[in-house]
Amino acid sequence: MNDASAGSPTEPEALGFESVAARLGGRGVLNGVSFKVGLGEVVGLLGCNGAGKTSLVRAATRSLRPDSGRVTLGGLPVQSLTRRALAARVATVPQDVHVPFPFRAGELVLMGRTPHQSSFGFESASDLAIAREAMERVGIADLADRPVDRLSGGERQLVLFARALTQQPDWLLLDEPTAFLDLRHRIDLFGVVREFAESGGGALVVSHDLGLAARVCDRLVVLAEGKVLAEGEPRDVLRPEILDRAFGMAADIFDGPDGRPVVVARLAGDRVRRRVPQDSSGPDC
Amino acid sequence: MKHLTPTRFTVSLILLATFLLATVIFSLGMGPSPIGPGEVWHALFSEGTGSPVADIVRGIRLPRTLLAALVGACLACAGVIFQALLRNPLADPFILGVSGGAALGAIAMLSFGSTLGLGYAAVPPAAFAGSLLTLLLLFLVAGRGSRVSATGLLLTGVVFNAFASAAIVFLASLSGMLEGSRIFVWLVGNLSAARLDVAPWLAIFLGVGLSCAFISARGLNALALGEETAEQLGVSTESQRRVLLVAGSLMVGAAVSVSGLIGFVGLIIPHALRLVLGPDHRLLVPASALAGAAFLVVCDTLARTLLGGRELPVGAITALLGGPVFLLLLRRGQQSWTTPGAGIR
Repeated sequence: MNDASAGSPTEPEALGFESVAARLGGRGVLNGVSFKVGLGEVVGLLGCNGAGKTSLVRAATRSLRPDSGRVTLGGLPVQSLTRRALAARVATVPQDVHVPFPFRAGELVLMGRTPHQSSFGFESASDLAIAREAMERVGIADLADRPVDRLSGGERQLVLFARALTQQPDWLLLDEPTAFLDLRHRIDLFGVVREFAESGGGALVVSHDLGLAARVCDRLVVLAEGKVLAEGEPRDVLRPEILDRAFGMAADIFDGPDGRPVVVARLAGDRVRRRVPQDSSGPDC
Repeated sequence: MKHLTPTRFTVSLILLATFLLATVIFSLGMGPSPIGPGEVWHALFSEGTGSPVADIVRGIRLPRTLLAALVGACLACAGVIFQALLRNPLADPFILGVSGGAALGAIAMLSFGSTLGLGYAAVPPAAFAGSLLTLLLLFLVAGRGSRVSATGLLLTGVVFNAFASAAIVFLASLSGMLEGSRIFVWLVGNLSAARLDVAPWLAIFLGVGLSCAFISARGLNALALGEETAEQLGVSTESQRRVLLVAGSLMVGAAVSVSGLIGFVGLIIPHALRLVLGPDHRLLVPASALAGAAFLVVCDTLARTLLGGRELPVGAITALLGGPVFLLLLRRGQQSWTTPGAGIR
């Protein structure tokens, strides 16, 4: 998709993807992706497995170098920033992390202060306060002294989320942050992401939970085969024909109680018993 | 929230330093003519030269004990660095074959250095070159970047060790060093033939390596979680890894050029310390240096005295202790380490 507003010096700060293209192992994983994540908004990134979502997040954190195009932060290419300066402004919540040593959850969260500290030294009282507050916000204050390798996948995701908040970034990148979470924790996590945006941050959320993405995100970007297939408000993006092209699935779209679209995927045997569109008892997917 | 406080840092290091001093005094007292700790202290700090006790303590036993301490510090600290970089608690300089590479470099210099006009002083740099090359090879063979599988890593180490031993024997037979037990000293790990004239090298290599590791300790914490996680936390992984690889190689090169292949110190010490002090590298790095020094001082004292007049190679003692620890760690970590990079992309 083309972004007509690119290049204006007075535009608000944004994390911008500008025709980002990258190959991995000979395969083009990103084929010219352009969109922006402004401050104060939550953008959902959707797409089937292998569509390029994680690669895009990695390009934003300089873990993947685009072959062409660039990722910019407030107009500056991220490649021109030091990793430290970048990490002070952009924090990532990865899908999972393998911790081979017995770090405690609190220690992992405190590592979020790394970009704000010198390479050696101790955490200051304010570092500790920031980490504690992040853990309370995410609801894991009671896990602080537990070794990370003894936590469940979902608990570990919350620890990584608290770590990202501890970085006090302007932008949050969340790569399937809810994959291991139960429904209540998913809603809580997205609630914190919303709060983050309302207090002036920008968030890019990779999610397979279309229903929750539709309710939380201001805009959605659908990736397919490394390209932007659709971009816009949830009701404009979550349409049967787009979902069919992005995921290869048939789905019905209903209006949810908040006016946002609710997606109900059809199972193979579902085709015959279609529901009436006004039936609001359809479950979240 | 439990975390590393300045108090815990200071108290831990003071306790370990005291422990090291105690082991040194114990070691200086042990030998064919036992000397009490009080006498050792007196001989060390207040007696002039000339008294027989001072001669034994300062002239005969102190150099070897100091070397043992320096070598132990180097090996344990290198172990910590390799474990964090490779994200594997089994990474020990000896197990990875890095010590083997250093020994090969040292033997090559011992065999052919004289024809190039280089003396014994050129051995530690050659050992450093050997260990650095081995590490680079290890990263190339066992996987790209830091995405190294645990199994691939250990297998590469085993094979490289076998290769290095064969090459060492080959070089030694070419240069006539196979006669007598000189080569044995290198292959088993021994401090009995250690020469004090390399101690300055050892101290410099340890000092540089330890300082590098110490000031990048926060980076080590992040790197232990994986390269990409470290990048997300703002660590310049490329430059940090380069510095740390050189630091580790310096310490292994120094240790091996003095004592040959002493194994498992870099495995036992960091593991034991993590259990007691936690995994934070800001404390683990200096603590490993102190504890590694104390450990090898004790092991070498045992090697000198256990069989009365005859000496055991200290490498045999560390291997006897370290082998079971390795197996225990391997068994306990099976689930988590045999699925390398789980969730890391």
